[in-house]
Amino acid sequence: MPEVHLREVSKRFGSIDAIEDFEIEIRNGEYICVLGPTGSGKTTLVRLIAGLLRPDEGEILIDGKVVNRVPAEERNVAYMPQQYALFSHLTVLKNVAYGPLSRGKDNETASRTAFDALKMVRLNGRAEAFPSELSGGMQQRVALARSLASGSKLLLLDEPLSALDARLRVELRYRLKSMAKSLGLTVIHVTHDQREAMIVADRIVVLRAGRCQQVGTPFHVYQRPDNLFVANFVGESNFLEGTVTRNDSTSAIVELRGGLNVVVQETSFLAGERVALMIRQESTAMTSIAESTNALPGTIQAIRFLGDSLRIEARLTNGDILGARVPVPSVEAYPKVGDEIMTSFNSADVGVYPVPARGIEREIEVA
Amino acid sequence: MKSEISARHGPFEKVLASLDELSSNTVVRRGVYAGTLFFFIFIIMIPPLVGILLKWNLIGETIQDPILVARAQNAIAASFAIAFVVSMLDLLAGLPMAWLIVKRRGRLISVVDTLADVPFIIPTVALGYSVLTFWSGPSGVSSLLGVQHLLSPGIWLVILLHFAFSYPVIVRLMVGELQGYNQVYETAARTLGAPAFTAFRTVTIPILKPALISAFLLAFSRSLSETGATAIVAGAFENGSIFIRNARAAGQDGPMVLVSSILMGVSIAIFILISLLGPKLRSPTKHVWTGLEWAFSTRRAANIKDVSTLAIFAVLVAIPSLFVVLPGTAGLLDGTLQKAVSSTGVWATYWSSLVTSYAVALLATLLNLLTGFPIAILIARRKLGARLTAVLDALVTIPVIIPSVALGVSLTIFWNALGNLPEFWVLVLAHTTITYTYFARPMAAAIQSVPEELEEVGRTLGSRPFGTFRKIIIPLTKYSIFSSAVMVLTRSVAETGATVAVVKKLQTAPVLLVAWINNPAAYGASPVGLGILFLVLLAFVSLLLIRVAMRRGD
Amino acid sequence: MVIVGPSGCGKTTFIKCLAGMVAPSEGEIYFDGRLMTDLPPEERGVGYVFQEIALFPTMSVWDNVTYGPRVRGWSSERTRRTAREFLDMIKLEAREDSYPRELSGGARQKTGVARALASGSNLILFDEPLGALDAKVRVELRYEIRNLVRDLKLTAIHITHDQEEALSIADRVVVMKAGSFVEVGTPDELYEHPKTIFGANFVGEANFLEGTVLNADGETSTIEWGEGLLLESQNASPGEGERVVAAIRPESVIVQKGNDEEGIRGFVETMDFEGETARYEVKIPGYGLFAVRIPFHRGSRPYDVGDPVVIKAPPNKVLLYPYPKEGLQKELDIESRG
Repeated sequence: MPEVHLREVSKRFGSIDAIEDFEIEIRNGEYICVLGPTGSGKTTLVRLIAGLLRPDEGEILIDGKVVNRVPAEERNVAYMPQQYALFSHLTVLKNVAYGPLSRGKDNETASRTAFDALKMVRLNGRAEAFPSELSGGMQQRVALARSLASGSKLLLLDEPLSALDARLRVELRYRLKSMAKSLGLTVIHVTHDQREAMIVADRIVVLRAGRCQQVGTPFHVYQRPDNLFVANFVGESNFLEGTVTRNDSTSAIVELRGGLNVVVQETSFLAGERVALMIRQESTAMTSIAESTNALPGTIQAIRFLGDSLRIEARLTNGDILGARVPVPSVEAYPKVGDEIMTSFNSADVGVYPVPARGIEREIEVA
Repeated sequence: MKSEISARHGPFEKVLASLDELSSNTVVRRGVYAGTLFFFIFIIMIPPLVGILLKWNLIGETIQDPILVARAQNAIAASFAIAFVVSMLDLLAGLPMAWLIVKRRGRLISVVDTLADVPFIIPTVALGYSVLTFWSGPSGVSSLLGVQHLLSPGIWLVILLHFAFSYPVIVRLMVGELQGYNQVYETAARTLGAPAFTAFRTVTIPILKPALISAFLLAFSRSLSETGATAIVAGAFENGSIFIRNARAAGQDGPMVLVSSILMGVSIAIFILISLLGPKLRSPTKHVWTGLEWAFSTRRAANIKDVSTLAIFAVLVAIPSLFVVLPGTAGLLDGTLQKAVSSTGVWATYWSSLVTSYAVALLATLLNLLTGFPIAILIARRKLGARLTAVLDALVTIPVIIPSVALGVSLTIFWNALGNLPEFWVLVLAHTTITYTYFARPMAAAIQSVPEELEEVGRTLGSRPFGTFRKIIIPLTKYSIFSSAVMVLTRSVAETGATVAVVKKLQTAPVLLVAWINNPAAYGASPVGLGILFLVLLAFVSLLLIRVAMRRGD
Repeated sequence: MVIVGPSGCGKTTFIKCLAGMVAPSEGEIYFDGRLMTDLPPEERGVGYVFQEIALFPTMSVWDNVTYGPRVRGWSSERTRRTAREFLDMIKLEAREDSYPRELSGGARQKTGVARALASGSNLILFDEPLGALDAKVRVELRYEIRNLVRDLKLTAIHITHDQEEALSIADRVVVMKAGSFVEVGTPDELYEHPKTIFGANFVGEANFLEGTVLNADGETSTIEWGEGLLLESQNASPGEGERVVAAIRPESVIVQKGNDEEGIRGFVETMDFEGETARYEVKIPGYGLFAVRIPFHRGSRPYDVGDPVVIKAPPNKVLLYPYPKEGLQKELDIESRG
């Protein structure tokens, strides 16, 4: 039963630190999502675990054994790269049977295993087709079946859903998770889509420029982001900058530019310190009258329809911009651009962080 | 396109399985790569470069003779001048042809596509004879214009010949590039308002520049190398390779070594120069001559371009190359065929020379397959790191840069100095060296086009390095393997330059035919025509095989 | 205008016809009353933003953006001014000498947009412009592009497979399937009252219930579905006795704990935390799984797996459609290759 430990793992390419000092313990049967922007080192991480790269420092352990020197073909890890890498010269069945055959099983056993795997992904009817004849979603399922047929209990998925249509992605991610759970697999799933990570992961690892930013359950990472980057990358947030003006033990007041004041419940910062405030967009309300401890007046700048909700952007009197995600109101209460509005949020919903040296914008930058 | 993965436990499979196991061992793997690298460097690359140096002393005495030196200088200058001019002309004529083949589909164009390969596939001796009879002989163009000889053997004929046989090289290379070129860039330019000609000039050409430079260099080196056909059409004119040939025939080792080393040295220098400076060349893409370029982009302009491209191809390349069929068929009809088939008279030597040619060619191909593959993998998968891979890639290109006749001279000196290696084996090594690039580099490109991820996934699924090689790489590149092997075979059979320098007693078919052609008193037009026709037919078979392999691989 | 549809539905072919890269087999195209059908791309005056971005790799950002003006023969003064303006708008003035390979995906795409706009066209075609980008970047960039187009008062046709992208930036949305336009409407029309099952399924999520119309009295209809369950709808309905498909969006229902209230009763089978919302799948005996989505407030955990719940669907949120001839599954198929 695979458990994966990474101890102070680093990997360099020339002068670039692709992975720096990475540490994690993954339990048997866990579904882990490695979440981060392009170039954050997610693929390098997965390839290190698969044995396609060797770490410069640190140790990788699978089931308690150090595998740094074990070649990829002996690690018994199923690896699914981003473009699936199906063998175009082989039929679907032969693709899926590749693992068992390579490990020495005879033709009959391998075919049977392959067929079972195809049944699990509901593609047993296309066993004799070639990959080029299948749609993107089907190809992904064949790649999955091939990984499952290999018999390995550790699955490494590199952006398994990124190549698919948005709608298909939504459908398939549920299926991916339930399949992994019913088979008792340990999964490491790499993605840049935080919504995907939130839904499928038991725990999320947020990665940025090769360094781990936070590890935790989706709930935890979402409610208590450790830093501004995580706060911005996971979920939709507002950021304001200000100085702590008063701090008694139960609450504190932060003054924004233009003299606006925000009451917060985070009391670990001293008066005079510059802080960055984070408020989730769904915790921000936009109403005609003040409704919470914090109410800042502003003017509506933009309204976006998202289907199941609206995203309203308001410009405060001091120039700062706040966004709110609200349920779609009835026709009578529908707001308009230019309307005067009150942005409200509870003091308990405000996260307080030290202002980073490069400024908030550069710190949360993903593009 | 199916490939059987079988885990049956027969003896062949057992051997494969143990090879698989071995390949997991890093030491074994590294040993195989090191072995082929060793072979490449010490057997393929070093001998030609070193051999010449062993007879360095001869040069001293040679330069004492001013007449000889003057003659040598003229010959060398002629070689480089012709090479340069012909390569530029081939680029200008070949690029529109490649464009035609890629953009316009249809029956006619497929025929043109196949015909464009002809000058490359038929042995150069055949090409030389063909060009000679077309432009110079009484039955060719001359008869149309009512003159005895339109063009006598000499420099103009050499230029026409070189233009014809480098043409396919440029076209093939550019067709490959254009096919791989992503149309989207030109389309983007057009949506921004650029007419077709402007888009091509300002967007596509800069992107294709590296390929254009490679094509130029390849045509350049082929022109420098060519000996057999040039010998047929040159008459009294001398370029570098003719000079060497003459020197060898006269037993003058000194001049031979002198001119060989200069040819080699200057070729390598030019190659390095152009490779380094070429990318810095900026084509004029800033300015746009709107009126003029819109005119060039009209349907009418495009048609004029296409027609003239085809006309140039027909008159300067296709017809001269195929003309040899005429004397050949004459030979078929006038009774020479019976003599040939019954091996009477001169035909006995003909057939044995053909056997020699193919024996050498097959061995060279085999050597290439065995030693070229690991090198191709090293290059394609950058196993030595980016810098060393670039160096290796350049080194693998060197055999093509060195004029083959100089290469032959050098090799003979080297292997004779080392101990008396039989002529046959020196020839095999020479041919392997000359054709090395024709296998290793296309294979490297083919392997590179197989995404590395496929091998990686194969490994994580449990197959050993050798296993992924034979189960994934080979099936996906098998058509490239086949067409490259046939290409090597064909080049070897047609090879004249180095062969002439190496052999004293042996005769390969092209060498024999050159001797026949240059001795019209003893060998009439019929036997020559027929002898050439057989070679051409065999070459066509190879061409067809390559075409079939390439089509299936698409 | 945004055209949304699954891969292979023909949206790319459509937009290529508009640009002149592909010739239509039948029909005509007019821009501002001018016939365009036979004109090549360079004469249509339409800006095009490519999915693969397609910045000219041998040219710097500046050269890329000034390509259109240069090729159109504008004066160097006008060219310089225009390029400066657009690079300022996308905030890339500092990178004007960089080459495409040195830029991030988002910066590259912004340059591609600037290049298309700088050539002075009034019509811009966006071919899945955000497809090659990370999820977060996609969200940020789509608003930037939208604002740019609005500020410049241009007409834009934008194709995508991402329905959230479509809804958030479109004036009107077209849903496309297998080569045809299936529905057209404003984002909220399309979301609240889709006219087809495919539209309802493709744009947003929906639960689809098969049933029969028990009675329809003009204002409200009653539908019987599952094992004797009843549903009321205030929307247009097929006639009495007809087979019908009801569509209900997961966030439009009201969910209450317990099982003594009126409504659809079931047990919570799965829960997915989505960040600002939570999605539950409720097992309804005799039917299957019904998805509901509720806003997730900090700290609160309303339901656990196994809890009994009651789902109430407001009648105005229950959409009705005649049962499709080829069966429901075929209608819902979003992997169709047309």
